[in-house]
Amino acid sequence: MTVTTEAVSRPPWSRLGARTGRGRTGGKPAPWAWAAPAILLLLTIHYLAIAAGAWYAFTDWSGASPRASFIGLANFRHILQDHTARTALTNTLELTVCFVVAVNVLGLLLALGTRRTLKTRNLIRSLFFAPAVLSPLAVSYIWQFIFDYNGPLNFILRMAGMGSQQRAWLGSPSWALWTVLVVLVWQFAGLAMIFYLAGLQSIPDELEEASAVDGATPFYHFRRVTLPLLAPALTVSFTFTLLLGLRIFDQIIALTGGGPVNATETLATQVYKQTWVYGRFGYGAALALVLSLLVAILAFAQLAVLRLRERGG
Amino acid sequence: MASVTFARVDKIYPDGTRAVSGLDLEVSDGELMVFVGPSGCGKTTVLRMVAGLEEITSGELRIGGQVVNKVEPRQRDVAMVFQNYALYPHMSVFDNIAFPLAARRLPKREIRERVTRTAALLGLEEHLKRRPRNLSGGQRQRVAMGRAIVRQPQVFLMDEPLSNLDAKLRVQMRVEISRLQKQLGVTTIYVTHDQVEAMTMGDRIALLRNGVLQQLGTPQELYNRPANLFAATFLGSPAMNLFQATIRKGGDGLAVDIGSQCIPLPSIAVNGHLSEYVGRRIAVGVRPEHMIEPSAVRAGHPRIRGEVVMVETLGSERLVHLRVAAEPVVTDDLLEVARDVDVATVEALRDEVREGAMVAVARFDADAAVSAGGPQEAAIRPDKIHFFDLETGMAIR
Repeated sequence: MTVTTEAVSRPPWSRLGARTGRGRTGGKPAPWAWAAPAILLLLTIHYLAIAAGAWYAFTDWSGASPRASFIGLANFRHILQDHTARTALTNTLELTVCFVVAVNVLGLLLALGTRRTLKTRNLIRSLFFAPAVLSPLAVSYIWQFIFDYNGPLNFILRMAGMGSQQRAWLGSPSWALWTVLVVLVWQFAGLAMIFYLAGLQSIPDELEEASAVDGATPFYHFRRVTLPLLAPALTVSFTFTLLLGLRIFDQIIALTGGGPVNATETLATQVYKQTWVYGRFGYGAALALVLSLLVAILAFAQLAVLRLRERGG
Repeated sequence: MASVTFARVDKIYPDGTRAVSGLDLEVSDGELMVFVGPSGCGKTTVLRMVAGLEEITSGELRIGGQVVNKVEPRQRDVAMVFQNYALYPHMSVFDNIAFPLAARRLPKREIRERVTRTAALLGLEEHLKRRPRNLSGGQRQRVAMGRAIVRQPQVFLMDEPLSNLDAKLRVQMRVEISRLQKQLGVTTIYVTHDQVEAMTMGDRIALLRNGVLQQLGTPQELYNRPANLFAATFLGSPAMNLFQATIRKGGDGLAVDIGSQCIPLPSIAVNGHLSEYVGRRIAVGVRPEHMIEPSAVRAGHPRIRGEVVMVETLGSERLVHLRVAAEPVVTDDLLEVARDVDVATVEALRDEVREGAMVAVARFDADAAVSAGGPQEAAIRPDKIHFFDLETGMAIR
């Protein structure tokens, strides 16, 4: 009896690849044939749903009514005229830029500080990383207590003789956004630290010794050797924190609800409010689409620049 | 250029490990000093102490007469070639070589001139724009050398720089490094565990064991007059044959009993202190090239008998492995050298002790008629016999 192993190693749908004659490698099944079911499933469940959601951005659907009328670009024109939406966009960009810079600078400093062979380095690293795994809501409620007018922060300021600096941190329109930023940086600096620690561990200690003997100061070594070799870690960390920053939602809702006077309103909070609080599903979908495009454009642009730097371009 | 002086230098790690003990030696200006020894003997630690990468526990280290114990690596004016080259992977060959100059903020024009000159010296002109990952092992090694040379430092430090190269390239680079060192005249400390590198490159060799200097001298001094059993066995391939023997008076002079064989010693073989060992067990050492075919020497040379267990024909000569009924010498020193070779060597040594017979290697002419399985005599050059105190391991002179 002859047994053909081909029947075992080829998925039945691989004939599709064979028929076109493309993607074949020496009579073996086209690799994409194995991935096809997963790709189809992903397209159906994920991207079809996104596409459907995107379609509502061009309608006036309320979310409750059975009818959704096509209104073209009216929702997008409204975004340009909507003061709250423009404030949300500005806040999103300001918060994201400051968040990405602060969280990465702090994360890198923490990684550099804890990479040495201290006996307690693992404990210290765990302590710094712990906030990143905590629930955003739990973190927010703790900080809400700290920032309360009668909370520990103002108490410390009073004790330190800086009573004039006391304020309602989350209640002040000029301070609320930066107060939220402090919470976000506190929570995610440890995460960036992990990216940089992984990057630092891939740099041989010998290079540091070599540059020291070569006459480099620690700062020169950092600038000319460590930082360029951290390029892959920088790319991952900057991209990840950029995506995180643009989509920050839980902490803002829990800390300020977007207030006071829209001072902490972001695109993500506006999407939620317009869709679920004000029942403007079509407008909310338009805002979500703007946010998604913003995320995609900024992430790809940043990724392209960082990859170019990685290659030394 | 400068001399490097170790004055009773100790290195003890925080866990109590003593890496270097009481090192006392001077590397002269322009000299190439090779530190050699088995793994863990402290040779790399010595080098790193000179570079400033390891703190000195006690003693004094002087470069060009200046005490540098507390001087930062970047201020010592030394250049180091690392075992894995430690090239900056993101930089071009040009930038790698230029790094020490750029770190010292030299004018760009001068950097360019010096890098170009160095690259020409090392044959790297065509590769200046390439990254280290696109270079062969030999080219990387040359870039590492270039980075050391370009700065014109007082001292070169080289930590097993050839260990990652294949055998052929190693020979080539060995010659190249020696040539460069002589050409530049820079004081060089070279660390290796390869005795061939040590013998061929060093003006002098410092042999280390467990952080202690065993012998210091020219390659010929170490080879011809080993100070102790460790030095005797570490240098030379195949290693020196060491027999346990009893020294006694016989006939006109002295004789040694090796197993059941009594070998009279001609007066040329006897040195001043040997007679003090009459009646005692000692170690008798003979290098393979000094155990030769009996027909090649005149009568009267001491001879030793054995059974041929193997013959290695090398073209220019034949290595005859003779099983001799004699106790081998097994001391801590020798076990350490054997361990550095491999586990099988240690086991072979232990087997010889169990069996009370050892295999000695003799170097015969290529056309010598000898075959495995039969009895064979080997003549010993009397002026080349070494005697060692079995208790202290020191040479009897």
